[in-house]
Amino acid sequence: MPEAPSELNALVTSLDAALIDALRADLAEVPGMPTSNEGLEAEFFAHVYQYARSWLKERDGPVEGEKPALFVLSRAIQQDVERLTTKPRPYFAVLPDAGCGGQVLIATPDFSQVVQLEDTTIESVEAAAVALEDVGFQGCAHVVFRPDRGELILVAGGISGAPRRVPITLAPPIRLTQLELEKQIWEFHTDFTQTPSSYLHCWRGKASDRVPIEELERQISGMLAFWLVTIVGREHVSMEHYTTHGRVDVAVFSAAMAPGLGPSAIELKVLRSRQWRSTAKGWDAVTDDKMLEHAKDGVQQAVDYRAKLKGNIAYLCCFDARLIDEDQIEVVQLAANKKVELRRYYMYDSQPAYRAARAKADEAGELLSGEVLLTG
Amino acid sequence: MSITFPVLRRLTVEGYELFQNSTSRGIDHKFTAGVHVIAGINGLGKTTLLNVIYRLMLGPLDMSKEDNGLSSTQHKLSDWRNKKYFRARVRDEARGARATAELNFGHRKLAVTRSLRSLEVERLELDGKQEPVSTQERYEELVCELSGASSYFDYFAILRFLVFFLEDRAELIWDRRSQFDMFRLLFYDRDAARAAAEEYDTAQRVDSLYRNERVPIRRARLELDAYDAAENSGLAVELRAARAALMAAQAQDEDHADAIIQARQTLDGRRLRREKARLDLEEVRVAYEEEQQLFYQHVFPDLAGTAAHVFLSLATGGGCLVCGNASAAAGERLKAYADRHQCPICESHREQQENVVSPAEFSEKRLAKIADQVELLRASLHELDHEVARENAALIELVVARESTVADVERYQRLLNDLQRQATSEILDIVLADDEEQIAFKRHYVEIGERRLDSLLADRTAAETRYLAIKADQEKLLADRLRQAKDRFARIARHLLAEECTLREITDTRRIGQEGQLIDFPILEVMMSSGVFTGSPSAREDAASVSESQREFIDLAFRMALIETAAAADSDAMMVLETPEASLDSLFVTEAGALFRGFAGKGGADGNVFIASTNLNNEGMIPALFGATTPPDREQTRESDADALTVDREVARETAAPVLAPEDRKAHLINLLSLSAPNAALRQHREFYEKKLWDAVFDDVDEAARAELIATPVRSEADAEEPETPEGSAGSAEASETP
Amino acid sequence: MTERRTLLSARMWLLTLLDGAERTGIAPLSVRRLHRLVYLANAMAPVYDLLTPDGYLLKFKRGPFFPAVQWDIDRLSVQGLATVSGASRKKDDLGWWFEADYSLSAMGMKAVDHAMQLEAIGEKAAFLREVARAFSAILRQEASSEATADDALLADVTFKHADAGGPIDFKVASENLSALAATTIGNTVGEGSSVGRRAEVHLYFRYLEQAWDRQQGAAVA
Repeated sequence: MPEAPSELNALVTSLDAALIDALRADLAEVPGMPTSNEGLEAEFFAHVYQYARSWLKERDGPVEGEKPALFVLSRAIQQDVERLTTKPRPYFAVLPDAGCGGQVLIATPDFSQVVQLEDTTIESVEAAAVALEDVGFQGCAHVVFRPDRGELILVAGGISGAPRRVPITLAPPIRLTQLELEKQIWEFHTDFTQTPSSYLHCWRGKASDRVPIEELERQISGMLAFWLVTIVGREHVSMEHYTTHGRVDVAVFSAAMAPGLGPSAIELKVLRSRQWRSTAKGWDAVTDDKMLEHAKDGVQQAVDYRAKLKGNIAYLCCFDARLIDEDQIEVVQLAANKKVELRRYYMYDSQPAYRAARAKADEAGELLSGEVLLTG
Repeated sequence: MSITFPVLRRLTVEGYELFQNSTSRGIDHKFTAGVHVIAGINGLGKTTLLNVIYRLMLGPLDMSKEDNGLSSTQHKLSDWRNKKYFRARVRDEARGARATAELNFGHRKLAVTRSLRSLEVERLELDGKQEPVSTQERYEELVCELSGASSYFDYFAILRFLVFFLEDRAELIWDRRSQFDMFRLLFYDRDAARAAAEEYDTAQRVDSLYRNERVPIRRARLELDAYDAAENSGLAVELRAARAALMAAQAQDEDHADAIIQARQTLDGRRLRREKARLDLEEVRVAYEEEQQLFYQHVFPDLAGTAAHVFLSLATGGGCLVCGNASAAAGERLKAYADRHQCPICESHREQQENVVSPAEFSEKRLAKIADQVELLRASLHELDHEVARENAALIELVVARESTVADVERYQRLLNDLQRQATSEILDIVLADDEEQIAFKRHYVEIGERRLDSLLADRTAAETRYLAIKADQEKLLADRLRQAKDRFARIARHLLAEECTLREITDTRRIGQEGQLIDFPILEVMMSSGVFTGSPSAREDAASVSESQREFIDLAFRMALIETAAAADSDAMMVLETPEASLDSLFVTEAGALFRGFAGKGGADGNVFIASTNLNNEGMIPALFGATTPPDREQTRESDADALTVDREVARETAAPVLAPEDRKAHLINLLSLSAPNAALRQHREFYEKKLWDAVFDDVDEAARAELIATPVRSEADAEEPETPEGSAGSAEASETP
Repeated sequence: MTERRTLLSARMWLLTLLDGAERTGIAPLSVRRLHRLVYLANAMAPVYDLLTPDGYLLKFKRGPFFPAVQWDIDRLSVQGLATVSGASRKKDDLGWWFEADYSLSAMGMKAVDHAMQLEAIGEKAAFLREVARAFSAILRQEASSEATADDALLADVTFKHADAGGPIDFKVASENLSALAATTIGNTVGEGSSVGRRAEVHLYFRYLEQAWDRQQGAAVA
C-alpha cells in the first residue's frame, strides 16, 4: 500500500467496529454478477430463476393450467415505461405470491424495477415471441416462466436466439462436494458448449470452420455462473470480468461447498486454433504455443484467484475449441505442480463428431475429457 | 687459615720500547728485602712499570665493578677492559715485549712470563721447573695453591686491596662490605672462604633474580587481585554483562542499520522502476485512448449528421420546425452548408469547429496490440506495486526493529555508564580489557611465577642459612684474628698518626642482597681522637671524616695490620705504593718512609719488600724511603703514651726502622732516568734530573762519597749469585750499615 | 476551452454512464445528479485501473460541477445521442442556474452498442455501469425531494478535503484519495484481503451513505 495521507488516516480512524459491521453486511448485497452484458444477463436470469422458484415453492410446485409469464430484460426501463403502457410492480422480487401468469414483465437486471405491460397478455409460450415483437423487444434477453411445468426457457439473444429449458429445482440449495461441482460443470458443458446444438452459440460462421466467437469466454462464464446459481443459490456464486489477474472467473463460495472444502475458484479459458478476422478466409491461425501460454496463464490465474479467495480449491476449465482433442502435457504438469484441478472440455463442431468421439471412448472404456459420470 | 703473600723477587722487562734506550735493553731488577724505589720524572713510565708488575701478577682480569669494592656483586672476575694498555704506549704495539716476574710464596717460587702485548702467559716455572702448561688458568691454579687463597678472585682481591696501593686504589677500611669480605678471604679456613663466597654469591644472585622476577609477577598479582576483587564484588560481572549486552546490541543495531540502508536502496530502486513503469503505462494508455478516439469517429455523428439531427425535419423536406417555413430552399441551404462543412447556424468553417476528426484510420489490430501493451505494463506495474509495498513493509519492519535495538543500545550504554561510575579505573581497565584467555594466562603466569619466587626465596634462604652456618663456624676464628688485627693496627697507627687511632670491632648489620635475612657482620671501625682536642676517641665512619693524609695512613696501616695478621708463618709480604704526584707534607713523608722501611724490614726467610714509585718532585720521599732522613722524635701527647712500658717491642722496632746503607741503595733503585726511553724533558735536562736523583738517594752522604757511590755499578750479579744468603732485612740493613 | 485530445473518449464515457443509468433504471439524470455521478465515477476510476476522461476538471460551487461535462452533454444532446428534457433556467442564492434531465437516446444506445464491439470499451462500460448500479443502490427512494437523495456523496473524502473553489483533478491515480479510501475500506472489511474491485466500489458508496447518515445524525443532535 502506498503511504497514507492524513485525510486517509482520519478516514481509517472513523472506521469503527459498528461501521465495519454495517459495511460487511452490505458486502452480501453486492451483486454477484458484473455489469457486462453477459453478467447482467446472468443476473437477470438468476433473479427470474429465484423469483420463479419462490413462486413455485409458495404453491408447492407447478400449477396445472397456469399461463406462462414473460420476463424481458430492459435496456432503458424509464424509456420503456414512457414508450409503453405499463404499470409498476414495486417490490416484485420479494413478493413471490404476486400473480405473473400471462403477464409480460419488463425488468432491470436486478429486478429493482419491474413493470408490467398493461394491455398485453400471453396465453402460451409461442405467444411470447409475438408479444416481444409487438412491443419491440425482439432482440432482448428474456425468460419465459412456465408455472405449469416448473421450468424456465432462457433466451439470451432475443427471439432468434436458441432457447434453453431450465428445470427449477425446489429442493433446498445443496452444498457441493468437489466431485459434484465437477459434475455440474460437465453437465453445463454438455448442455451449453459441447456441440453446435448446445444452448450457447459458440462458433462464428459454420461450426466446422472451428472459429469461436470472440466473447466466448465471457459468454461461458456468465452462463456457468447462472448454471451454478440454479444449483447453489444466487448469493453463493460470483463472477468477475477483467480482474487484474485474469479475464474470467467464477467463484463458488464456501457456504455452497461441502463443509471443510472452502471456496472454489474456477478459472475459464477457451482454447482455440483459429481466431476470427474480417478477411476472405474469415480467420487467422492461432499457434499451439500461444495456447500453451494462454493455458499456463490460466493455471497461474487460478492460483492467484484461489489465494484471493483464501480457498483451497482452484479449477482451470479449458473449453477446447482447437482442431484436435488432446491434452496440453505441459499444462497438465504445471497444474499438477500448482495443485490446480485442470479440466478440459472439448467442443465438437457437429453432433456426429461428438457421437463418434463418444462411441470411441465408450469402446475403449474411457471417459471424455472432463467427463464426470452422471450416475456417480 | 693464613695467606702466603706473593713477593716479587725479580722483574725483567724485555723488548718493550718504553724501557729501552741506547744503553738499556730493558729492565732486570731483583727485589731483595727492603724498600725499592722506582724513580723517574713524569712520562718515563713509573705508573706503567707499576702496572707491568700488577698485570704480571694478575693477568688481564678485573673485578666487574671495582669501584664498588669487594663483594658488592659476585665473586667473579671479568676481562680487563683496558687490554691494550701496554700496546698503546709504544710505537711497535709491544710486539715481542714480555715481562717476567719471579714470585716467592714463602719458600715456593713461581716465575711467570707474559706477553705485554696480550698479557697471555708465555711461560710458567714452579720452583725452577717449567710447567708443562703455560696458561692463565694454570697460573691461577698455581697462585691459589701457593698463596692459600680460596679462589683466584680472593687472590686478586688480596693484591688489589692489600698489596697494591695505587692511585686508583680502593680503600678497604672505609668500605664495610669489602672489609668483611676481605676478612673472609684472609681469615676463614680455605674451604669455608670458598664456600662462603659461593653461598654469598648464590644468596645475592638469587636475591637479585628474585627481585627482578618479582616485579612483573607482583604487578600481575596486583592486577589479578584487583580483578578478583572486582569479580567478587559482582561489579565485574555486571560490567561485563552490560558490556556484552551493549556490544551485542550495537552489533545488532549495526546489522539493522545496514539492512535498512540496503532495504532503502532496494526500495528506492524499485520505486524508480515503478515510476518509470507508471510513466510507460501512462504513455501507452494515452495511445490506447487515442486509438479508441479514432474508433469513436465512426460512432459519433459528424457535422452533417449533427446538423441533420438538429434540423431533422428540415433535412427530410419537412420544413423548418422553428419558424414553420416549409420551402424546399431551406433544405437545400442546409445541404449546401453541410457540403461546405460549414455550420448552418454560426456559419463556422471546419478549422473553427471542434476538431475531432483525425486523418488516421482506426485499426482494431493496433488497438489490440496497444491493449496488450497496456495489459503487460499494467501487470508489471501491479507487480512493482506489490514489490514496493512488500519492500516498504519490510523497511518499516526494519525501522521498527531498529527502534528497539537503538533503545537497547542506549539502555545498555546508560547501564554501563552507571556501573563505570561505581568502579575504579583500574578495575575498569581490567574488566573492560576483559580477555578470558589473557586473564587465564596471567593467572597461570602468576601462579608459576609465585611458585618460582617461593622457590627462589627458599633458595636464598637456604643459601643464607648455609652461609650463616659457615659464618658461625668461622666466627671464633675470625674474632681472634680481628683482635690481632686490631692490636697491630693500633701499634702501626700510633707510629703514623699524631692522634690516637684505634679500631674497634662493631657489627655491620645488613642483608646480603637487597632483601633477605639481616646478618651481623663483624667489622672494624676507626676510632680517632680529635687532632685538636684530647679526650676519648670518636668513631670515624667514613673517609670524609678524616683528613687526606690521615686517611691514607689509616688505610696503609689497616692493610699492613691485615697482612701481618693473615700472613702464614713462612710468608713474606710485599706492598707496592704509587706515590702521589702531588707534593706531600714533609713530615708525612718522613713518617711514611719510616713506616715503609719498618714494613720492609720485617718478613721471613727472604724478607718483605716494599716497592714505591716516586718522581723527583717529592724531594723528601726518596731519602725517607731509604732512611736517609728520619722522622723527628714525637712529643708525648696523651696520657696513655706515658705508660711507655706498655708499648710493645714491635713498635720500638718500627720506630727504629732500618736505614738502607748508601752503597746498597743503587740496587734498590729502579732508575728510569737511565732505563726508560728518554722524553723531551729528560733529553734536555738529564744532568739536572740525575743530580736531583742522586741528591735524593744519597741525601745523607757527603759530596765526595756520593760521587763514588754513583759511579759504582750495581751489585746485581753478586745478589744474583747468592740468592740463598740469609738476609733478614733488618740484618742486611745493619750488615750493610756496619762496613 | 483548451484542446482536449480525447474528446470523443470523454463523451463515450458520458454516454456509457448514461447507459449505466438506463440499465439500472435511474435515468433520466438531472444536471446535478449527472455531475455527481461523473464525480464519483472519476473518483473510483483507479479502482478499476482506468484513466479518467481528459479535461474533466472539477470546479464546484453548487455541488460538483464539471464545465467540460456540461459542454459535452449538451453537444451529445444536440447530436441526438442524449435527450434533454425539462430544461429551465433558475435563479437562486448562488446565482443563475439551469435544470435539465438527461437520458440516453435510442441513437445513443446504438452508439454505445457499436462502441461495445471493442473489448476496451466493454471494460469501461463494466465499470461505469457498476458505478451507476452502486449509485442507484444508495439513492433515497423515500427522500422528500430529489435534491437530497444523493447528498451522501458529499461525504466523499476528496470532496470534503478539497480547497473551497479549488479544482479537483482525478487524473493522478496515486493522489486520488477516494480511490485509496475505497481500497482501504475494502481491505478493512475484507479483513486484510481484497474483496474485489466491484465490491470495493459498492462498499465505498455504502460507506458514503453510512458516513452521511452519521454526519446528518450528528448535525441533528
